[in-house]
Amino acid sequence: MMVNGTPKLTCSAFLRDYHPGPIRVEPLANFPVVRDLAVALDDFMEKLLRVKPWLIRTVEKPLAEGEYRQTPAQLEQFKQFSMCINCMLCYAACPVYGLAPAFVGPAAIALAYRYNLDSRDEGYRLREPVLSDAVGVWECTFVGECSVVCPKGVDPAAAIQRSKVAGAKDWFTSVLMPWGGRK
Amino acid sequence: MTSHNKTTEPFWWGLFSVGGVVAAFLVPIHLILNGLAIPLGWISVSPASMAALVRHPLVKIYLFVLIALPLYHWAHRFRFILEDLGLHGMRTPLAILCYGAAIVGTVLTIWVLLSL
Amino acid sequence: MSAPRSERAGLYYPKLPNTWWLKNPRYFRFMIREVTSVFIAIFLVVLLVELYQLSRGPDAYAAFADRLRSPGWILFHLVALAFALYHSVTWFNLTGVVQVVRVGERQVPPALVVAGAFAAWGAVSLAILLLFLMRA
Repeated sequence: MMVNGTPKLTCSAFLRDYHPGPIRVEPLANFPVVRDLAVALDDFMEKLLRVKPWLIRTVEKPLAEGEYRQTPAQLEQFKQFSMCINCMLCYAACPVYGLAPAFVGPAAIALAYRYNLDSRDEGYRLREPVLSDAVGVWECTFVGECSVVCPKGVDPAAAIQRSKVAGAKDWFTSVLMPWGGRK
Repeated sequence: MTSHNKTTEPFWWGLFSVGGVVAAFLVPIHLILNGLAIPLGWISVSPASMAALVRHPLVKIYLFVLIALPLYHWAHRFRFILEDLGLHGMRTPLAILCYGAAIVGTVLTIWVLLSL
Repeated sequence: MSAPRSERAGLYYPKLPNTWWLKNPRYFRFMIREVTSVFIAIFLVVLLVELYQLSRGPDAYAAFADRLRSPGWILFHLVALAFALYHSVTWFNLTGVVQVVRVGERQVPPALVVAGAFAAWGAVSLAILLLFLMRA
């Protein structure tokens, strides 16, 4: 919800911090309001599915071969972005999402980035069309408010900008070297 | 094989990025030099020595980078400013206007540098 | 982006006002940051015109240099300098976020990347100043 105009998890917004008040509670911004403080989450849910936020393997290892191993250093590469709790505060904070609801949005892109960085994942090429679309990372103008309001320190803004760098590199290599293969 | 033809956004963003780096590194010192120090007389330069300086081919290349690239930085940012201020649904005309202006500026820069 | 979304009946779709950037200080500073590009572009056009006058001869250049001494143009360059510095500072501060620098598998702390960028900026500015003083 919005507390005094700021996207906030009301379960961790304490009256003592807003004393003496007044406190204004509103439905989460940038989402269609169903009634009172309830908003329709469909758009976010659809975008979440669109980026395929799960480990994708070209060929799954059989159980007998054991777990997918990962070093602590490999975990560090994406751990921060795995902290997302899908609270959608970042969507409420993002003016681009407010102005252009087709924008895939901070959380979805951050999660796509999280899985792309996961050493166990092989799904980059499946997520890439979503990110490289015009309403993907390129809609973002790096306002940065998403990272400010995120209660888990995910820093989706960083994920998006790094995805832009990767996306631009991909684009330029594909244009300058169309015969080249990519991962 | 992936299709990259869906959008040229990465291209313009790339130019915006490079232009932004150039602007960040070089524009302040030139604002001080060309905008304040020389007009206010802190540094005295004669037209002749200025002309001689800018005729050097390396200096011309430097001036091209300094002037032309940040124009794409401006074009990209300005286009999104206009959209953020409410001009939605005009993506294509705005892009043509802004990037077109940057391209015109680039051509003019080349023309001026060649005529020096 | 421009395709209007299909709106379901019975739901209230709030519209973000075009003055959204006045709603909090970070939004406002974002808009200022974006506007810096305008002042930078104007200055570069002035620079281009200066070069054009130079190509037309010493008299044309001297006349233009005279106009740059007017209080109006000095004020413009001061204002533009403030905006350009804001661009540089915000840009270099964000390089730590945007560009991940790795040595082996370890990540260089973003603060170090940022410090490096600022140091490079200082060095480049000094170099340009010195080069100009030596050659002109």
